[in-house]
Amino acid sequence: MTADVLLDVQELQVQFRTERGMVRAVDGLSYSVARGEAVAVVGESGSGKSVGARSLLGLLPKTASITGGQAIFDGNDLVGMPERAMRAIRGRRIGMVFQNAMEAMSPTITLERQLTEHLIWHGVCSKAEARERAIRALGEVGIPEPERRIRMYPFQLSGGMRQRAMIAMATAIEPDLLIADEPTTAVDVTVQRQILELLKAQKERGTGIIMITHDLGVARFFCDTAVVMYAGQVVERGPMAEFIECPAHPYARGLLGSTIDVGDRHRKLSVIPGSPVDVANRPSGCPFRTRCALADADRCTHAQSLESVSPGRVAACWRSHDHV
Amino acid sequence: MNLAVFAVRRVARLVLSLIAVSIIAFGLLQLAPGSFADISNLAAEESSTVTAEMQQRYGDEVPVWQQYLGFMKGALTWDMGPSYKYTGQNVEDIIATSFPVSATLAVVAVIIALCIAIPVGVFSALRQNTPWDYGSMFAVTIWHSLPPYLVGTFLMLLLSGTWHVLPSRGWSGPENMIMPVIALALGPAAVMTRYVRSSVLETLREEYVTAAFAKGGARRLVIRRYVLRNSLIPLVTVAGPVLANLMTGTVFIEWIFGIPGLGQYFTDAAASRDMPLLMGTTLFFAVILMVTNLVVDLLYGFLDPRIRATAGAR
Amino acid sequence: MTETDRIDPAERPGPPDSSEPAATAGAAQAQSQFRRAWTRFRRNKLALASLVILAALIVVAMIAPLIAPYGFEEPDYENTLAGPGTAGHLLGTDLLGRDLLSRLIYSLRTSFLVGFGAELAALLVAIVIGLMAGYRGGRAEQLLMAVTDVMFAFPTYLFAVLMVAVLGRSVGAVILAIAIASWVNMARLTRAQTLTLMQRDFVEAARAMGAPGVTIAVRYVLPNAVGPLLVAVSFGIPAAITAEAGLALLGLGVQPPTPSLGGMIQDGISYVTSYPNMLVWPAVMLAVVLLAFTWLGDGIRDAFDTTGTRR
Repeated sequence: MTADVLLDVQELQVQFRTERGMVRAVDGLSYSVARGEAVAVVGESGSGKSVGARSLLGLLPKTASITGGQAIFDGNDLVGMPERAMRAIRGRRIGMVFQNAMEAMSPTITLERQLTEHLIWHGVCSKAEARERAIRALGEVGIPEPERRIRMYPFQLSGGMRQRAMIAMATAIEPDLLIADEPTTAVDVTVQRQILELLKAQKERGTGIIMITHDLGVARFFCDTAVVMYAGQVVERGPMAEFIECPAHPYARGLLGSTIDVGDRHRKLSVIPGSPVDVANRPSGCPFRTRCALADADRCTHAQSLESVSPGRVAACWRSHDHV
Repeated sequence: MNLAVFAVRRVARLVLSLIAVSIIAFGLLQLAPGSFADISNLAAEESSTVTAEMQQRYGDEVPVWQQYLGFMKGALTWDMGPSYKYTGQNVEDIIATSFPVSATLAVVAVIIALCIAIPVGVFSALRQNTPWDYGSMFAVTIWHSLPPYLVGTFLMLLLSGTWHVLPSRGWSGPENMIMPVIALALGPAAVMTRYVRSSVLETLREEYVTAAFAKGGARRLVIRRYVLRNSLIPLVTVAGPVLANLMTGTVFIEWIFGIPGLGQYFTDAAASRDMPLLMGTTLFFAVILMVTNLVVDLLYGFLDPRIRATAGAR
Repeated sequence: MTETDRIDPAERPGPPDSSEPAATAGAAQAQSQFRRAWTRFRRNKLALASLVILAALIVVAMIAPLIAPYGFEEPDYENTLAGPGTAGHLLGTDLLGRDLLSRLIYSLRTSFLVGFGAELAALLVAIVIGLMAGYRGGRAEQLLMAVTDVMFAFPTYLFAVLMVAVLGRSVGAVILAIAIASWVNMARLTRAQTLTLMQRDFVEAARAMGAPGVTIAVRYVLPNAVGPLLVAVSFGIPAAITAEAGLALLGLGVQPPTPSLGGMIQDGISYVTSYPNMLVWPAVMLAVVLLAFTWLGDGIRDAFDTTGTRR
């Protein structure tokens, strides 16, 4: 690991208190993000990818709690950090981009206020200067006439513009790390492309990015590292290029097989059979064995640990060496 | 929809409803024993001029539809003729002097209700499923089940009957207002507390609240700027039912506390079959209720930028 | 009127059992819905206690002449304005020396008579018009909509006051006045229920088999709408009792000397500073009745509420 590592997450565990008892939504999540690095956390809905990211900033509902692990950000552990210290990091050092700007921006507050207020909260600059910076940020994300549009309410913008404004909201303050939680899921394809370009530009400026997505096509666009999650556990982690070339874990292969690749029209799309397991009723051993074509009754009922498959790559499947 | 079209439609519906209410009320009172011009209730001797005016307006020889049109014309020109019971006073004068009394009661009650509902509702929502939440929701159920006149009765029993700290009846000073406004306020307060609580709970689950926390907002500030603003604007929509509730409430409250408001005259008119006064107060109540509902709709549009933009700018 | 508004008109009982013949499915479904509701209701201690208290009070009201120590008009000139515990007068007497306990018991009679009577009358009208509006549409629907529009323009209670001014002050007239003022919401509820139930398989099946409209409405739709209607009635009865007492308080209720809680409160208010005893008992009794109905209604609503949400 280099000195440039911004965030180092180790064995993170998150539990939810439910009527049926405690449920492990995230069970041993590890990865690290360096400056200028983009890490894609990939998985189906319910895999714990979003919970894992939100838990870093302490943004989980009251029923959830981090029960283990650590997340060292700039030398300090985010897990168990006092509220006041955490608040200084939220929005200032670590920004967040949400899935749907319509829901993530208050309908009754103008863009100006929503784009500038945290600059003032964090004491970054004066109100007038914050306005200047917000206008500049809006311009940078490609919103025409930012001086006029900044006075509008979110609902007065088009969907694509709104999504870009939300990115401006997170980036105007120039955070060190950006968590993007499915930022392209709620928008159409042309806007998707714009959003990805914007995030890529952020990365090139040296911002670390955690990209949470279910879509490997989105993840591979600019991310350097892939972290594949299934049922709250990491099943594979490694450099994106190698991962796309030959995924080691059967689930990751299935995920890649079901991704639409615009460049390759001839490839057949496949589907992972069955539906994601409910983390509340996780099967013993490998959680994926109930849907896995390669499942072996003897080997897969034992827990699979992350084993190195090649330098910098790990996977949690006893057969992963067969594929690399 | 265009704002002008919207306004015209609303006003047209308002006028139609008013005409319907006036016809129904007038029709009902025609069915009542004793006619509009029945002056047997008149106790005064000096009433010869009044009688003449009565006969002219509502006499037996005047056809019913002419009586109705005559009354409506009077209502529109603010000249509804004399009252039977309060001899020497015209209906419009009675309304003009008694309405401010009722309005004062209602406005103070609404302010008190808001002062109870917003803090209690917000606090209950923020402390959901704690003893505080259960306790205040239990209290709200009790306030809500008891009509204002019963709350007023208990207040009177306690403060006038037992501790003798407040006068039980009358309308001579601020001390006469305390019990009536509390009695009036508790019902609306209960309705609004429930509304605020569920509205805040709903807003707290919104993504934009998480987003505001993710920007580093302090809890207090996020709650004020994001949660309260978005959950309290819809509170305006309960103003209609609350107003109807208050209007009913003032009738009973004015009666038990002996306050000379519009409700008192309405009751008196009903009891003594003072038809012109009953007709006048009834119509006035209906106008107030409908106009307030209209104002509430417009106010909501003004407060919520989404509605403001769709109704106005485009 | 606000109580019934809150009830979800689209309440859905469990899915219909398609293996059963359509002819019995409607009835069976309604039955199982009741059994489940009762199981849930029994667990609510506050609602159960309220039910017991109300049942006891209703029995007391029904057998009033047997248990009331005196007649409601029977004066005792030796003991006027007697305090509670005076020999022979457990709760004391009023201005004319009439026994307060006896008057209270007879007042309950008036309250329940008017409360149940007005609600029953309103319910009958509401079911007929609501079913017709929901099932047939047409005239009944237009009438309902027009009446609703006008009723929203005027508070219900004030309408009842107006009705009493027209109809007079006999028990029947008061019942009628309150019923006329309160049937609209229930009719709207019945209509909404009918519209939802019409979409259900067992109604469609009955229709496909050519059952006449009235049969479908009464045999299939109505039994399944009973739950929400029962909830509405459980809130409607205390509303009618409140209205009766309120009218009596204004001197527009049931004609004296028939005692009413509202009338007793009105008498008591005049003497509140000198002799609060006259006011305490009717006020407390009315509060007990209304609160018991509220908790009972809450219990019934929660029992029929399949989503399990509490307000």
